Amino acid sequence: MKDFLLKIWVWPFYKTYSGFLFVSLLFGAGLLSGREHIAMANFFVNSPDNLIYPYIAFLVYEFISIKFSLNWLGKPANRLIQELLFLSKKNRISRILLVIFYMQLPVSLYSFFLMIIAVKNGHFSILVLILSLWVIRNTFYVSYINHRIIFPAEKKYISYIKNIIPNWINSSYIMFAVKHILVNKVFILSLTKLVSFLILYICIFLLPTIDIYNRFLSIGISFAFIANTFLPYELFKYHHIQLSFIKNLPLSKYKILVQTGIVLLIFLLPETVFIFKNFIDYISLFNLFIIILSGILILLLMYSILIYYNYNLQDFITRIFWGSLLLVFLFLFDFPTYLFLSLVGFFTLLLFYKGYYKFEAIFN
Amino acid sequence: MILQPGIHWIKGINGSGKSTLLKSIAGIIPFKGDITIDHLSVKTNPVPYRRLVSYSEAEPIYPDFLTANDLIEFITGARGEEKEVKGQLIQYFGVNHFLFQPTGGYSAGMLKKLSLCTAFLGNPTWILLDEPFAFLDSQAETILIELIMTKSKSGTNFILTSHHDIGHDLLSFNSICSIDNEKMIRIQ
Repeated sequence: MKDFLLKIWVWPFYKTYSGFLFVSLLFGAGLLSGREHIAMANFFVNSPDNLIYPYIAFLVYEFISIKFSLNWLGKPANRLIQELLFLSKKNRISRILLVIFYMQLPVSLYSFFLMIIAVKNGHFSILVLILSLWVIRNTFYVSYINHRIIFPAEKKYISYIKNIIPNWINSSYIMFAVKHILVNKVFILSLTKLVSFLILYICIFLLPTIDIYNRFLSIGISFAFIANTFLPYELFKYHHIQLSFIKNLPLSKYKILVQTGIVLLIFLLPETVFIFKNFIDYISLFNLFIIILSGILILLLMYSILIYYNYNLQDFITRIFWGSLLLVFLFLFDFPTYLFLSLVGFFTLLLFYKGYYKFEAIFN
Repeated sequence: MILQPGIHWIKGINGSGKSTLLKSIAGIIPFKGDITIDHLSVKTNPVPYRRLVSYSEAEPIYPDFLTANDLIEFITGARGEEKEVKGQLIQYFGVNHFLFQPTGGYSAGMLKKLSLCTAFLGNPTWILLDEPFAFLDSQAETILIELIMTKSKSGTNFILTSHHDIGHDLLSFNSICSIDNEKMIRIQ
């Protein structure tokens, strides 16, 4: 049973996140010498406040592995795992524990390393703290996975959102898409926001030193929006696979396009508010509005391109790369903003109008 | 090929293209050529055409966090349906028992009932039912047959697909066709 669970649950996790683990290992182990590792561990175990740093990383790791397990168990092909786990409660808990033990191995090993350092330095209270946190984290993990296996469809924050929103909004395309991103793509959404806000912070940091505000801001804000590229791709995939029944409904193209635009606007609201709040001193309100509008339109153009050409992820990313380069050149050579906005709007409408209802999607 | 109004049964072995044909008629997948209903083409009049056709998948898939109510409300919003009729359909198919549960927890039979219920919404002229009796219990089968006959009498047309015999003695088919080697042959 152990080998079976490792093969069909734990190994796919390590395979799926091999890139992430490799990068973590590279940063964690490759860049620091053994002595530096010990020095860093000494810093971590020096006080409970310092211990927060490794625990943020642990929590990210735990979040990723929980997310993976839930998605993995939810797949129809993996129903067998659930059936095996359901044989008895005692077996279920012990088997989930086993899986989590192997899945959390990198974190547990580092916790163990911290415990040794804590003992060496005589910080016994820190040792107890690490041990307690290890138990709490794993108990939470086991009980959460166990709970979600028994109630697979229950998502409390989603039902909370549903209760406070009127029914007609709940059953709209906009909410279907928003909920999909919040339920299934929350991790990549968080990463996206991290990158886009990083770009915006760099803009704030450099802004006082730059003379040509408009050009610099246009590039910065556009890139912050382009960082959200996963949104149009995810919406496109969602529309074509999970919401394929929509293609049989008499919905006008413009309605779908406008609603997709609103979904993008909802997810770009944090950036939009941030930009208005921080850049209003440097650039006129109208110009700021135009720059933000072109940022949102760029994402909508990406959605239309996907609808028309049906790129797979790799081809799409390649085009985004070249498109971004083109964008930099356009702004560097002071391409008129209004003309740029009109062109993006025109091609968005043209490609969407021509592509929608063709459904040449590879997903079919 | 022209299909006259009525109930049509398309037979064929697994993988013969029954579902592909229905999806093409429903406007869900691309194809060469054209399909028209009442002179409305699926390609040149996509929205009015889709008002006339609704489709129930053989093995329906929905986002697992959506409830039957969310989906029914959404489809009603797009197709339009009277509240009373919508309520009746929900009752007929027994969807009311799981109306507010997320579809992620549904069995194959519950998903099928939901899919069939949504296909009857909005008063379409043609209803395409792909393997309509798969996963259904005998009570739901009887209800479905009754509903098809009632709707047929009031002018709704049906195309049903199945690889095995379906209610032949209970449903009166206007034509029975078979798909073989990518060709559709009328056998009755």
